[in-house]
Amino acid sequence: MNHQTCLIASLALAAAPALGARGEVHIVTSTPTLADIARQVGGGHVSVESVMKGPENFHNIIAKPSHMMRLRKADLFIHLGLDAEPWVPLIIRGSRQGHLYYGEPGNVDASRGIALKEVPARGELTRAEGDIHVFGNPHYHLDPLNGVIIARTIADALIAADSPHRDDYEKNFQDFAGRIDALTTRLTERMRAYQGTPIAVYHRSWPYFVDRFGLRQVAEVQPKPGIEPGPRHLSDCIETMERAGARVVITETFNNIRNAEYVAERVGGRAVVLAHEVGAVPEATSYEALVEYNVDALIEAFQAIGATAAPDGSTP
Amino acid sequence: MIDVLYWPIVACIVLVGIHCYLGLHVLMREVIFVDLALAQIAAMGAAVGVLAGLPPDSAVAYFCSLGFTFLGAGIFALGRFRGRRVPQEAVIGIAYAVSSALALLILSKIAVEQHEIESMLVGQLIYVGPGQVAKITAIYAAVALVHVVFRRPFFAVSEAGLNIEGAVRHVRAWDFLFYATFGVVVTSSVQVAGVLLVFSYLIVPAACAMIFFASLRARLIAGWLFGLAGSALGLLASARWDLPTGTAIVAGLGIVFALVVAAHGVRVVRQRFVSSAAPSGADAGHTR
Repeated sequence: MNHQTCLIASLALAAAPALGARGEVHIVTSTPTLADIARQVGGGHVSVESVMKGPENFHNIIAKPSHMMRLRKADLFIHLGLDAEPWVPLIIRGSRQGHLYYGEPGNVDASRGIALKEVPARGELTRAEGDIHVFGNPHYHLDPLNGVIIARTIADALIAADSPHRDDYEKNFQDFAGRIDALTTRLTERMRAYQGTPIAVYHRSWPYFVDRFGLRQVAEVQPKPGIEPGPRHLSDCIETMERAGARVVITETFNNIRNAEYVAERVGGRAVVLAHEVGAVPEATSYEALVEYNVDALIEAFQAIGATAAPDGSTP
Repeated sequence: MIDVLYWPIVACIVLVGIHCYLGLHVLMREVIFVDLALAQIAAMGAAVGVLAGLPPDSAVAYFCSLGFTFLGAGIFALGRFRGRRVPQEAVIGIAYAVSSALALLILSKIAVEQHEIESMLVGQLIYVGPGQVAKITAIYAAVALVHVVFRRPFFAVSEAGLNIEGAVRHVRAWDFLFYATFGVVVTSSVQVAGVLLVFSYLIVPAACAMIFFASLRARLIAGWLFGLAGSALGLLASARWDLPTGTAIVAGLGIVFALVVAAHGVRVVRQRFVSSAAPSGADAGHTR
């Protein structure tokens, strides 16, 4: 037993498990993106694993016994919060680890401090609208600057759980924030040529990304996941895209690419699969790689269809 | 709006054509859920293909799916055992449940292709394009040709019902060939329309037609008309209220079936009335 154990126990009141045998903080995350950020902030003092693999849709994971077993060994459980992952409460309960319950220090809600978009106004909250998220759109991690806020939340949780390594966590966070800031500046510069370019999305996963890089989302192909759109919605969607000159449809790995391609073909454009998670596509090996891949893939699509507000040769 | 509904409408007409015909066979055989089972086995085959690393939508993946369907066809052909200690519906039900579970187990290991699970059931009729319509039309035409050429043995086996032994020579071979062609159709149509719509296209028009007509020709023509009427109803509702097209057509076919059953009920009551209370019966029937 080491002093870290005593600290945790006194913090959590409930019987918290000892930090790993080598004194590591064991972190379990709901998604691979959170795992990657946790790894970068935690450095050598943590071991990290994710419940989800990359290409899945985090709304639709089926809770399995192995998920709960994984949680049993966790000192910290980091998840996206809001109502993004309906399976998360199930596996927290199933793990029977008091220190991971909501409100306990081992339960880290990564949405803390994020400026949420598409928060339904009071009174217009109805499930009839299908995939409405009660607390706002949960795909916030696709804006790299939100990645920095997530990293701050994780750093705070790590410092609380393992204060002797406070300085290391602070330094790792500062380095991560610096890298992401530089990356965002560089990518924003590359996207400057496409400022205000209209695009359509297959599903509403991209408002944070779209706003960060100055694009303009004009249409959603499939507002309710899993249910085919009605003919008027689809027809309106195509018409809106034509009127706005939008010719790129953004989709994710877990959707049928043919459906996005169908719409893209109608407007003479193309469908592009972006990475919604680390590991969703082979190129998205880390959080930075994910953001960079998404910008690259989008620019490639823009160039292929010759869509640019201000064509220039300055794009590196 | 017609621009997005154009190819779905064409697809509906093609689907009604083959499914109404096969539905007559299925109802004669009284193996109603065989299509659900075969569709599910086809989906499991597709999942196995993905697990084996075959590119989705490729010809290899299609034949992988088809291979499993043939396997299912073989099991169902063997399922008609002498004496029938186990009813064939039981074999079909087991095949359905187990292949559904296996497909889900496999998909849970692959992580991607979740849309397969969803579109397996409700389909994505609205996204049908000319390429897919051309593909299914070619496949159905080939199957139809086989059925025209071998119509005698196929109908003999289907009509034999429970007394299958001795009805035709090589009865198991014909049974297998029937299920194999059936599997080819269902494998393709489920990809376009989903299990619910394919099931409805098979059963509803054929059932409506069998209520009113006895000859094959009349049943086929009536079935096509009922199928088209249900499709039209669903398409109109889909256009009017912006509903998912495939699912709306299932509801449209349901309405057609309800109307047919009601009309049949009225006819039966009226006939009974006429035969029991001869003179006044016609008036009573009139006032309904």
